Amino acid sequence: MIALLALGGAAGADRTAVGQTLLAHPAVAAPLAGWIVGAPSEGLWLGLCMGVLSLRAIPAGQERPRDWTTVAVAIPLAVGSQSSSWQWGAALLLGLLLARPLGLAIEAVRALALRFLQRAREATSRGELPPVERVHFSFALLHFVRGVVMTAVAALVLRWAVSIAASTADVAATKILWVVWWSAPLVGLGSFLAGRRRGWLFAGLALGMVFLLAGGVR
Amino acid sequence: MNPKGAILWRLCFLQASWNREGMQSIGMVVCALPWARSRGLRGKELADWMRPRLDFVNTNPYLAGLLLGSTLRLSGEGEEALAGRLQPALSRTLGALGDALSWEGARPAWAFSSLAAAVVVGPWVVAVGWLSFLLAQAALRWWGWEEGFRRGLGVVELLNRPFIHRWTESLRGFAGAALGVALVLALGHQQLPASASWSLAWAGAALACGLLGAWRHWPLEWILPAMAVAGWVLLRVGLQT
Repeated sequence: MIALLALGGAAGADRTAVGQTLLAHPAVAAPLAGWIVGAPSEGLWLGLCMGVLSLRAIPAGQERPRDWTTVAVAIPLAVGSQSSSWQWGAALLLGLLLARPLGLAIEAVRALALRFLQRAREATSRGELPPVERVHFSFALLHFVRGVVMTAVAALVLRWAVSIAASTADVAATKILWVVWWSAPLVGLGSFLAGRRRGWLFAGLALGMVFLLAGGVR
Repeated sequence: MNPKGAILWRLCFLQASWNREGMQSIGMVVCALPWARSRGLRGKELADWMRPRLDFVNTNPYLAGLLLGSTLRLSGEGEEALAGRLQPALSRTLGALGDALSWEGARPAWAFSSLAAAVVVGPWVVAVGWLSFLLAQAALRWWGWEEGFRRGLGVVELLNRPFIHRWTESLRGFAGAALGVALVLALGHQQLPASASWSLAWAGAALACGLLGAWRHWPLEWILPAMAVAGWVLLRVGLQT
């Protein structure tokens, strides 16, 4: 659990503050988290689902953030390696809805940074030097802490929801959650097909078919 | 002391204090501070140097080195006014070019190709993919700073060359192909419903909802829960009758 929380913190800082090294990309964070909890196949599938669904989310300018990164780490932490596909589907559904509320924590840290900017401007106007370096690097640490805390909170909420679903879900619900789990990337794919890179996507699908038929999967 | 190492290190933290008003302005000041100190600026002089730089900067983080290098080169040559005029124009251009190159091209291409390879080889490949991207983006930041500082105003001429657009288009295409390969290979691992007609109908509905959502700009995170509720209701009705 400590390793996953550390991954959540590092990925959270990577998403907003340090490096942007791809660790925060759901297609990277989820497989790593799945690997750590001992569910590598589910982690890879979750990474694909969330990677495709988050393709349209470009963090440009004034975009209101959705925290896909935290969700990608929290789902394997909440569900674990012994769960069935429909429980992963339930966690994915709730995780998608949690992404925007979790983004509010990013907004809160950014609001603090704005307050510091205003103070720094006032200080320089008076000819004083504001402690920009110390505060700037402290924000990187704050984003790491935010990542850890939000991963823990999201994992607790998801675990609670999945345990309730396990005790109350009927046959129809478990069937539909299983279907949601395997079909989730298709929704993102539909959005990709609306773009201009369809030809490349079809070429990739065909290449994957050839590889699959040739028995190239473990 | 040569401040290059400190500047390059700080470029990796450019967005730590990102905010909605100044965006990357604090980050840019922190990156440029070692250079300012190496030129002997202290106390009130340094505060005066800092003041206009805290206003607003918004550019692509991977290409920010080009902006920083070129404007500091011009400032060092006494062309402070020219550097001030260049910064907003260059930051917008680098933002547009870099966002397309990184967010729509390099990042999804790298992530999905790692994912496809991981399905075949093992999940550790994702970690290797991440490490290789980490090194690649560090090299890009290094190159940006070196080129920016070497060329100064000549950065404008560099950006007029079509290679960035060509890279962007190639990487966008590669991202699509990698996604296709990853999807098919990963789907081969999944346990699919036994009823082929039901599966095809659901898959078609998922694709159609995604297309419709993209066309109508619906948030994708709502489409799947809405489909799940509709599917649950239909399935319950079907099971009861």
